[in-house]
Amino acid sequence: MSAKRIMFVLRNGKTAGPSTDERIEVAMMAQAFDQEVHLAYLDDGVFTLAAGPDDLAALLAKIEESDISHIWVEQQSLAERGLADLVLPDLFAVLDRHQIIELMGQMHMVIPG
Amino acid sequence: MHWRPPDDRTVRHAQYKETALKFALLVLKAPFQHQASASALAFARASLDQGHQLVRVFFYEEGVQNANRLAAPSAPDTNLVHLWSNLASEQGVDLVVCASAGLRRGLREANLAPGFRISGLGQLIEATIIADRLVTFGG
Repeated sequence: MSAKRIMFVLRNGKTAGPSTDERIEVAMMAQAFDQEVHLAYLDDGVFTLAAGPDDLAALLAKIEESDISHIWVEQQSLAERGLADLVLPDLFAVLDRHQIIELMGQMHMVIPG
Repeated sequence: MHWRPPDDRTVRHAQYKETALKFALLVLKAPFQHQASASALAFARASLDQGHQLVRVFFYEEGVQNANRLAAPSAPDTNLVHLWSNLASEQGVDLVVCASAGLRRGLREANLAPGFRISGLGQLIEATIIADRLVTFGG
């Protein structure tokens, strides 16, 4: 059976409770099942990426360990929250809102956050 | 004998059979927190009524509260925990609660409602692979 393209959308910051971490866990599990996993940071989800170097390093370690390589961050979400100048690791690609929508259209499944 | 149009229900049933889908449902909100759980239950019943297959209902994040048998809402007819249990006993639907999300929120075998079972995230991914559609409630 061919792999499905699954996008996990992260729309909440760390203060929203354990759901952000749980979303990463399920994405890692999907990757372990050889599915094509995409992570999309939208809305308040981008605050996760600005939480501090330790948090970002821990997140990066998890992502690298699981081999998830499609990670998208919405440009407008960053700008609307004063994070337009946030420096992100190379693994994270910043995309325009329309590009994210286009990408969602190419997925077999989108799991909203 | 005069020709007459086929019964609407017959036509619809035939269409359902031809287009029957395998659904998996993901419930992310608690039963008395959000509309998501009630909508998921209604969707589950409607999809089965129309001849579709329900591969699994997976409860994750706050959705694990749907399996807490200690929940005691004042109006029994809105007790979604019981309604989910009824769906499992009547239709044999597989109701799976994420073990780690459940532990974080105090859900154990001891307070698990009938018809639910506790398992790992692999069950969700397996359902998404098998199913034609994954429908998320409460995302």
